Amino acid sequence: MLGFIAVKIAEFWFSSHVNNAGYLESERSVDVEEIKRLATEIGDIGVGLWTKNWSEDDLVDERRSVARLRDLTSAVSLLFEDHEEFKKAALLEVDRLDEAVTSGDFGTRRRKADPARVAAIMEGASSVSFCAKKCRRRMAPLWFVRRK
Amino acid sequence: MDHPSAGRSGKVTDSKEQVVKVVKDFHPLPAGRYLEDGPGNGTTFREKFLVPALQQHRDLLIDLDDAPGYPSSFLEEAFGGLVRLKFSPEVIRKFLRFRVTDPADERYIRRIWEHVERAAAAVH
Repeated sequence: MLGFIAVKIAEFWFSSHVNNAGYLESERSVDVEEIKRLATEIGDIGVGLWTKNWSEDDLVDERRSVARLRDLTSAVSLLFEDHEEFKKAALLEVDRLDEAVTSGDFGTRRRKADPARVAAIMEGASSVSFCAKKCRRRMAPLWFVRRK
Repeated sequence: MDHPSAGRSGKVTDSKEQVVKVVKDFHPLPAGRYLEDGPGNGTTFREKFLVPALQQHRDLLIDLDDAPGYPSSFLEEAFGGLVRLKFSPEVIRKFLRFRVTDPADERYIRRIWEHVERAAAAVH
């Protein structure tokens, strides 16, 4: 009888840790989708801004792109917080996207349409998504996690 | 998380160090490069806080917290612009320090130093 109870307790303990690991794995996948969504949004805003000259109407989009870049940095840092090598690689891609969108005459009245910049933005957004996906795949799968 | 006077660099401030919190002491939405771009522009930030600190050889701790973000153009104008005004990267590193609470914002500190080094390379 006692043995049966002990086995049941052990079974419960083990399965709760496995379930926790499964939950964390699915959270990681959600994080990657969020990163891809943010990168796409930033890319779309950036393309919209740099396909035309500055206008007063651009202020909201400019502020939105800067805020989304910060959100993207947070999302990347969170996903890869225990994987320094992946975090570094992904943040490098975020830097490139940031540079493509917000450098030069971004935020100034002197901003002029720049087709080369538009291409760099599209490539940058795509690179962030690809890097996040690639690094996520290389992360060791969680199958058993101790509760903290 | 941080001792009030300890920056991310680990140095403890002394009574001579000035602290500037960008969103509180300058503008809640830092953006743009030039005066015509609005009150939160990089030129004004540089001229109001950075240049006086470097000219007077005064330590300056710049708190980057609570901003919605910092565009590259703003950071480049504010900090890269110091190099164009003939301040060397060594002098800039000697007197300017940065503080962030959110680890994700450490990226801006890295970007600032990249702009300084790139401006120095362009000048030479």
